[in-house]
Amino acid sequence: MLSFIVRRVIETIPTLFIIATLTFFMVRLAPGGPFSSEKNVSPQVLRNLNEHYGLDKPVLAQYAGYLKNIVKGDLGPSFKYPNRTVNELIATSFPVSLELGVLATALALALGLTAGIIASLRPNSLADYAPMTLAMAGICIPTFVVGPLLALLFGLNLGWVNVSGWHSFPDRVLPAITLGLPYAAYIARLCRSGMLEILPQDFIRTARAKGVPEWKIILKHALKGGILPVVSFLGPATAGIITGSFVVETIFQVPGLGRHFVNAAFNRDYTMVPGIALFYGSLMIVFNMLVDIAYAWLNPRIRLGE
Amino acid sequence: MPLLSVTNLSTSFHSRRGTVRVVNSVGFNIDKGETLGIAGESGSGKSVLCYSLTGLVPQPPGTIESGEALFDGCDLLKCTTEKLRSIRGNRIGMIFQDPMTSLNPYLSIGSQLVEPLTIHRGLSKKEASARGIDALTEVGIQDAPRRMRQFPHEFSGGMRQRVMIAMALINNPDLVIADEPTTALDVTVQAQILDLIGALQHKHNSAVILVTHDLGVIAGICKRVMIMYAGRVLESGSAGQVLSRPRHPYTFALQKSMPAFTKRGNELYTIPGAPPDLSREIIGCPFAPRCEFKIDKCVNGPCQLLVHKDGHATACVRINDGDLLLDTKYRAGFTE
Ligand SMILES: Nc1ncnc2c1ncn2[C@@H]1O[C@H](COP(=O)(O)OP(=O)(O)O)[C@@H](O)[C@H]1O
Ligand SMILES: [Mg+2]
Repeated sequence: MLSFIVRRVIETIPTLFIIATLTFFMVRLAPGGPFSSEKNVSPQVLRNLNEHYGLDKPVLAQYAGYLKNIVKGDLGPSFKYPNRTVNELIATSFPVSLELGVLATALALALGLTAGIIASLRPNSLADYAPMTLAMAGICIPTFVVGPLLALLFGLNLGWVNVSGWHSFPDRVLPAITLGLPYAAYIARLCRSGMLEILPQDFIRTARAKGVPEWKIILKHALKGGILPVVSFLGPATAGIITGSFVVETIFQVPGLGRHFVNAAFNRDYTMVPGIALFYGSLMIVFNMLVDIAYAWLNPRIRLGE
Repeated sequence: MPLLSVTNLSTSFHSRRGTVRVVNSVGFNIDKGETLGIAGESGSGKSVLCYSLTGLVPQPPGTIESGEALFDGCDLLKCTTEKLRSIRGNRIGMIFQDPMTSLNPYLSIGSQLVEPLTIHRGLSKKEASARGIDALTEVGIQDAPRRMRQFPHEFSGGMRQRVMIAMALINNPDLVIADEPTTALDVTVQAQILDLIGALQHKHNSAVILVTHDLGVIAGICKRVMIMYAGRVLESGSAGQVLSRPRHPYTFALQKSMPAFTKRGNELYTIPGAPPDLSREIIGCPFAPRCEFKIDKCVNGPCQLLVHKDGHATACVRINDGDLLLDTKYRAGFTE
């Protein structure tokens, strides 16, 4: 286990290096620069700014300096928010995104697993078709349609919750639903097919022959194998929830990291873009590692790192 | 009073192509501590019979059409699912054919093994685990505490079947239903497993229903034997009667096709044809189309299991009417 984690971490170093390199140069290749949207900047001020942030040096020198800082864990100063470092910005806004992501994932799991299990118990009946049709719809309708619709219905028409902001718990409801819904739908379908594969197996019959109560057959004997497709989906799902959160945070004005990322790209924030990309990259790598560990724990025939 | 008394049990499967009656008016008794062998070609409905008794027939597509199965005063076919659940794994233990697929690959051996104890006896995890270690040791698995933490894929086929046996017997059931417990195993392991079942049966005084398609397995173990074909009982009686002095031509043919019953050097017999299509109504004897002794009344007349005075029952019309015993070819095969 420990050696698996160590090997995984070492394996990720090249990936992170590539992410840093690509984003570093790509944001510089985009037309314009970090200060081009600021109007009425005198050439003298611009020169001072460039000098302050080291933009007057050759690109390769900037790149070398950037890499050196990254290794120390310093993502550099933000270009757009004077006197704030990228590390600070991530530290203040990531908890918000994390909360949104955790809520959305919890919702997706609760809803998806329940629907998937119910559908698998009576295949090809109404209890199967109804949730699966809903799930299909959930997958097909994009977030930027669901979000505003929910905001319109529950925020403006019914007035139950605010449509934007992030102050009290009710503010979290709509963004979490919008972000989590498509994943609930995927999870429901994966869980259903996983369970349908396990339920007819001989060992389920053995459990019945032992007098195991039906609920325990489902939750103990069948779910551990039936949930495996869902677990392997959770790797890509966290990636999706992170990128999905860019859109949702913008729709609902959530002060999270996703919004910073979008703004950073618009503003050509030369350190913020690679910084957040690196941060999210590491996050995804960690999540995928956790998923692999969970998978191996659920399926004893899998050995970690093989 | 017998431990289990089954009468007129019929089970069908329904599909779009029609209804297939897989178990047809089967009846038998089994006493406490007794061993009953049920034999027949594969597809003759032996497994479905066992599942019908313990409520394991998937419904739909299956239905129990008729019958009664009195187990200690309780009709297994009609009691509530909750009552039946309290009997399964507690007073009736089951061993299945394929130990490779019958154990849950996602759960440790220990957690599956002790489940009947925690469910039916309310034992704590610790108590159950101690009993589980004893049970594994009893079926000849060494280093039991470590083996409890392992998973099925770390066990060989024979070892898994030992686990299945330990699991089926852990609550000292009154009845053990073993559905082809050795069919999927190597020949060398088969005898060990049968010996183990016999020894544990003796120790716990359990009755055993031993299902097999191999008459050789039954000989020497079972006190009474029942031969099934096309969902029906064609012959039944004591082991001596059915195996040493078989009457039904099907039992006969079955024996001739098994190495254990043929003289060395003699060629093995193959029963011509195939079992009948059960989705169509069979009027006469279901074995008639394949039987070398069939005459008109076998195909057209009624066919019923008749218990003779000595307790030996057969469903062969010609035996029951007495005319087959005069057939020289039949007598020749019989004395051979
Ligand atoms: N779940 C099921 N659905 C439909 N038909 C079944 C099912 N289970 C068994 N059968 C049919 O019942 C018949 C008897 O099967 P089985 O009891 O398994 O035979 P045996 O155990 O004697 O080899 C077979 O023809 C089989 O196709
Ligand atoms: Mg069978």
